[in-house]
Amino acid sequence: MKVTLVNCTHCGAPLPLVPGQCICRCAYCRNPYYLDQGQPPAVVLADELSAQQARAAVLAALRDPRIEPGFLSRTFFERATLFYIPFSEVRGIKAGWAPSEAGKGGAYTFSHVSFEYLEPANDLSAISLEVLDRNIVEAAMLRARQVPFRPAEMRRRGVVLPAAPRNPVQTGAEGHDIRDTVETHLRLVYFPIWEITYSYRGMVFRSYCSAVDGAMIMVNGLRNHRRKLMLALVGSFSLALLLGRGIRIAINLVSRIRLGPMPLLVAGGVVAGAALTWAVLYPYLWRLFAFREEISISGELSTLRTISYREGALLRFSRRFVRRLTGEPEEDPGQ
Amino acid sequence: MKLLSLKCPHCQLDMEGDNNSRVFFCRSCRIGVDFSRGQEREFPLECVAPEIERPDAVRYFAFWVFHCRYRWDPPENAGLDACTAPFWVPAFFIKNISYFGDIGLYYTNRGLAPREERCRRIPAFPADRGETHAAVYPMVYATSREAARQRQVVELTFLSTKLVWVPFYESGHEFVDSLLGWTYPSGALI
Repeated sequence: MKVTLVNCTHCGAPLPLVPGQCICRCAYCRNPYYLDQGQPPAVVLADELSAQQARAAVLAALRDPRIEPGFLSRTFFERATLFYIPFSEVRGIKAGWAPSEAGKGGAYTFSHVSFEYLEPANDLSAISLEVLDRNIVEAAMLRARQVPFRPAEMRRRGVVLPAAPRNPVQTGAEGHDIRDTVETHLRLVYFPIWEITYSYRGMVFRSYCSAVDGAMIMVNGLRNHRRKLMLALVGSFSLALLLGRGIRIAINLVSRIRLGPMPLLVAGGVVAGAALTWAVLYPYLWRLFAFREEISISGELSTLRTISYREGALLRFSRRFVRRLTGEPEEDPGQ
Repeated sequence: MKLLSLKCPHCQLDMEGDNNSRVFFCRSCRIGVDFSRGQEREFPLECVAPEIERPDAVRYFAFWVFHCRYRWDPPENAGLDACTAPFWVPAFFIKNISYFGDIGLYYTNRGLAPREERCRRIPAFPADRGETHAAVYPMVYATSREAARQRQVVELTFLSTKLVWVPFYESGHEFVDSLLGWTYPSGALI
């Protein structure tokens, strides 16, 4: 680990440097400094949800019909942890002079294309969250207040995941189209999420929701087995009928053939073998009939809400822009 | 790793900005200092008066204004082939610019000439787009403007550069521009 000490140029006191922070103030002479560390600037989406509100959001999500009905009433909430997940936000423009198609004798035209993308700056392996829907983050970014990156304060509130941003600066020619990346901007965006930990009959579950707007990212619980139980009961009843019929036929056959106790011993061996097989395969067959199968809901809960918000917001704002550009009057909200 | 002082070089007061800022401001001396190149570069700062009054909270948003002269090809019938125009480029980034539009482009195309006033005691939005980044856009704007007239920009010269603070209103989760009255979601202006 590389340790760098920087001293105040006025009083010589060491400056309180925090990774990711570009401005600092000397604790002794109060002189402010700008520190160009070559690190990307970072911003944090304000966490508007308290732990209680996040817990209420998870409670509401656990009422999903796919989760066991009695799960909610017997759930014991253990803790709520705030995580700050870093995302790399890259924006830029590629522009430059390129040989024009119709131009003769070295004619050049100016062309440009802008790009923007968002990618996780951490692999999320530190938490039990495999995938974080990018749409949730983008919708939250449009809506959220953005607050400056203050690592010490963030660490007091929750867990700040480390960021490993990629260097996005790529300058060079692309085939015959000579365009340089003339503007590239990388920024770290810390997205706050709540991890709600709860237990049900000794089993621990974790659910995640956005601390910006309460959008559920992932809900974990036990699968609702009512339907499965009904199917299992009907299946067992049918199987018992067939088995009973089969045994009766076998007894009839044995009584007709009159071969002595040998067939009965063979039949007993077969039943014992089946029982042994069941005992061996039980851990694997358990999941078929178990009541405690976990369910992880991340798709429908979060994506539907995110898309509806995004579509609504984009439509509303694009309509406004078109009206402003064309000079059309605003719609009457009462209509 | 460079350490640059955030004291105004003229009045020695603390300059305004936050952790994301690349341009810091001194209201009393009306200057903006750009740190984006790893060295201090000073530019004049102006504050404009709002055209639209609203009761909401106000914040200053910084814009780069480049006065440029550019030539196009082919020339007009009267032989005119050059003009001078101000180009407004936001000193902040706009998220999803294709959806929400580039407000600098609209200011530029409308040829805004707002009234100047004394700086008010209202907070300023961080400006994280330095002059080097913003200087790309006059060419981009001029190209798109002249392309609509079937002309090509062949040369662009920078005459002067300044920073301008434009008041924006904070209304719930939206920022409202005080010159045109346009609305942006608060997370779109970053």
